[in-house]
Amino acid sequence: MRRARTPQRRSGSAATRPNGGWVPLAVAAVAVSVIAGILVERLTRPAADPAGGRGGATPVAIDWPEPVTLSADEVTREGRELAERLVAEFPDLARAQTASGRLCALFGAPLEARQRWERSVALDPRQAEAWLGLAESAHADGDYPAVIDRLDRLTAVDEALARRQLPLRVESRVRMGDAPGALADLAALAPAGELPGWALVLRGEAQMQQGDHAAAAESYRLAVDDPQQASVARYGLAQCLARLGRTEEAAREREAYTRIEEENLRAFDQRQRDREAAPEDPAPRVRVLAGYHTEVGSLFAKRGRWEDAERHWRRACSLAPDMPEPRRFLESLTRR
Amino acid sequence: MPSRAFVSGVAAVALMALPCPVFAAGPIVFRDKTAATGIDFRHTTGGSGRKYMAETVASGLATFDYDGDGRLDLYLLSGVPLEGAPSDPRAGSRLYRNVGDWQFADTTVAAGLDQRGYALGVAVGDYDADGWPDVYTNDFGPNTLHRNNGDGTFTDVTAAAGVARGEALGAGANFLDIDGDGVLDLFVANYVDFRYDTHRTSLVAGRPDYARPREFAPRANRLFRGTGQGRFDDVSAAAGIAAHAGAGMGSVCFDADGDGRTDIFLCNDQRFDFLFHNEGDGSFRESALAAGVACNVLGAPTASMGVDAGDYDNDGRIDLVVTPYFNELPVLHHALGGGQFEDVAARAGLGVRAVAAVKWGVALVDLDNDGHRDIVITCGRIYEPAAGERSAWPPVLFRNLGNGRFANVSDQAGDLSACSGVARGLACDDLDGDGRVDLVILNRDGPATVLRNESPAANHWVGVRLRGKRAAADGTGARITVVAGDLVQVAEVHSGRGYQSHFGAWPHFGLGTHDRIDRIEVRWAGGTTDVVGDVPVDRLVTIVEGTGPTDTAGSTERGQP
Repeated sequence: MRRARTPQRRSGSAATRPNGGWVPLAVAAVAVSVIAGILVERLTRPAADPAGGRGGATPVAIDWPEPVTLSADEVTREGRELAERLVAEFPDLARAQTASGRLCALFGAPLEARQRWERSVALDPRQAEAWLGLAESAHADGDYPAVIDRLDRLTAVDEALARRQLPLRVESRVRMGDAPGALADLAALAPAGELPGWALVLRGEAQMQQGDHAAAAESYRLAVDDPQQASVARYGLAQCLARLGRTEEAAREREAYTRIEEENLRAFDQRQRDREAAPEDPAPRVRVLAGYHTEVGSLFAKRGRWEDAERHWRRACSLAPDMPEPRRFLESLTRR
Repeated sequence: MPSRAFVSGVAAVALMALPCPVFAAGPIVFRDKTAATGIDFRHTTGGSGRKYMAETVASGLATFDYDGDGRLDLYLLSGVPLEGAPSDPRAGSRLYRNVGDWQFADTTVAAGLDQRGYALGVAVGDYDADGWPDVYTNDFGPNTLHRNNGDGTFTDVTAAAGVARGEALGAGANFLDIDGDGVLDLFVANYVDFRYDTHRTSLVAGRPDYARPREFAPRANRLFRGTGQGRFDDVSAAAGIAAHAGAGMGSVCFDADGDGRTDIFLCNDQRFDFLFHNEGDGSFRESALAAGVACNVLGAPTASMGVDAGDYDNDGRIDLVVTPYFNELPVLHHALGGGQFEDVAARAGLGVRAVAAVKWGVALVDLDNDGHRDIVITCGRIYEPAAGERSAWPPVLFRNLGNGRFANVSDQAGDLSACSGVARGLACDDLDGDGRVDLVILNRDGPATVLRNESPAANHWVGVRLRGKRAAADGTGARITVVAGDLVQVAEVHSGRGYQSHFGAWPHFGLGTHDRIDRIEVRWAGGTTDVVGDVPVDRLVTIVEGTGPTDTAGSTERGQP
């Protein structure tokens, strides 16, 4: 349904309609944040050196690859090619399927992404990222019962990662009309007075579904000062007040809502114009791609396929020269 | 005083009653009959690659009985080549006569409906009260009104009727009776202010594509008042309609607050939807926000495409279902009474597997005759698909569970899920008279799809055809209440609904296991009421206004003679 209503869902919109684009963007935002988190964690931890080198004490002379820049189309094409290479080279490796799925999701192949993740969890049900990807995929399809099921699977293998998906879980429950489930999830998060805005508006909607318009009004009222939720909160509050027979208050809230919404639409129009004037900067996706090249290089290295490993690490270095991990791996490889 | 039921108002029985054993409701099953029907129609947007805005919104369709043989015929709208496109002599809307046994004959030319307009929306109504349904098409460019001559042919009476209205990019259209005088009036919706000289494109995913609707100025809509002498007066300004500009798409005229007067609901693309409340003095007040129908439950003015009006929960009030853009749930405005509504789509289960596609045609119809109206939605993309995306989508079918919730049964409905297309209009009617509502889908730049309802025929049903005498001749605006035991259903006669389409002019009621109808009550648009009692089931009944002993206790006087 629409706009960013949760912290993850406030990313810039590539949607062509003001209310049409937030779910894939939410998925993308979640995906990017998860991937970024995973990559940062992997690339900064004292990783086991897949190149099997002898530490970094002795400087080595390396013919470092020239930095390259990619257009948006080029990064998409390369991301898709890397996704295909992964599954071609490692058809029975769950981790490769998971990574390939994420690449597909990031680079515009959602159906293939889902297939890769399904294959991944079939190979190894402990693939947390794959369960998350499947949950996001189900959300994009509006298959909310499947979202809950896959998040439950995720919880079983990575509770911390699952906890971070609470907005996705609660929102899915509300969209499928499971008000009791949504309210239970929110109650476990925090007392009402301490809930963030996104949670309050979902709480209000769930309470409306239960016909408790007084409680819903209170939830919405708590959210009206959150700038990101002001529109939905004001509208929900107006609807509840109308149901409670408080027509004058409802009219005032509607007026406030209308002002906010008109401003939102103006802002949306401006964002669309800005986006057309300044096409997408591919740099963030290039950096993600570099991270995947690093990972793929590591997979090859673990199988002793050093030339393949070197090729991917060199590509990572050329795409993101400041990324430390592939540089370290290349140095290590050179020392072998 | 209690109503005295009578049966003499049941003037015609179109179908033989079949003894039907009582079974529990089975699945809803459709079979694709397109190839066998002889329908060779192929819709065109008339595009040249320049990405004109008109291409995105074409087109609707109509099901109606134009030749009075009791079978519902098809009128499939199409565009024609736009500027820059090569000529295409085959392009244009087509009329198909239903000759029975799922055969349809192209009678476009013989009937005189071989117009070459860029047709977007359609409404059917008997504007001259001669007993024959007339056709109004809302075009990109001048609109057209074709008068049904009653001999299988039509005459273009647009100029004489005064309803052409020039260059606008049209949308939905509806005949309605705004003042209950029995003379049909006409609402004509407009989309955005697109013309060749305002054409532009937008960058979508880095490529030039159709412009976003908000890139164009909104347009006001038109209301014409029928004079009863074959002409219409443009009362848009005086009635308060012209004061509200939007990006109109599908529209439906219904009684939103139960005051006996017909109101107008209009979808707007990326803008607040409109509810023009009939004030009873010839004027309308736009009241969508206060009524709770301007947007969805999140306060989002959705990209509303199509709308249907019907009572999904059998509480006696007419609800609205609206089809929006992708990533937006369908909107189900549940009527609360007193003209207030609440979007309960998520609570009703309409969120499940219905967000990924752009949604267009929509109908609230009982497809399994269990006495609870189901929801069908057609889907199809607008913009060019990026790699990994698709343009064609199958329809979505929500089965009404009878408890205020729906279940998405799209994948369990026979051929339905295999019928992917870039769909726009949808019409739902009983094309073969077997008591099961069939589907016709208009696909953009493609052939139409005809789906026969082959659900188990366990339940009973009744269709109601109205013949107004002092009210509108085709019953437009009438409210019908069917009482069968503890099953009480209401429906209204609409001219124009769904996505810029027209269907269901003979309202269809599933009756479940009830094998007798206690009574059918008709509240005509003029305010009078007829009641017929003890009506047999499994047939189309015709009720003629005021025929036989009628009990009008509690009803108001008729409107203008």
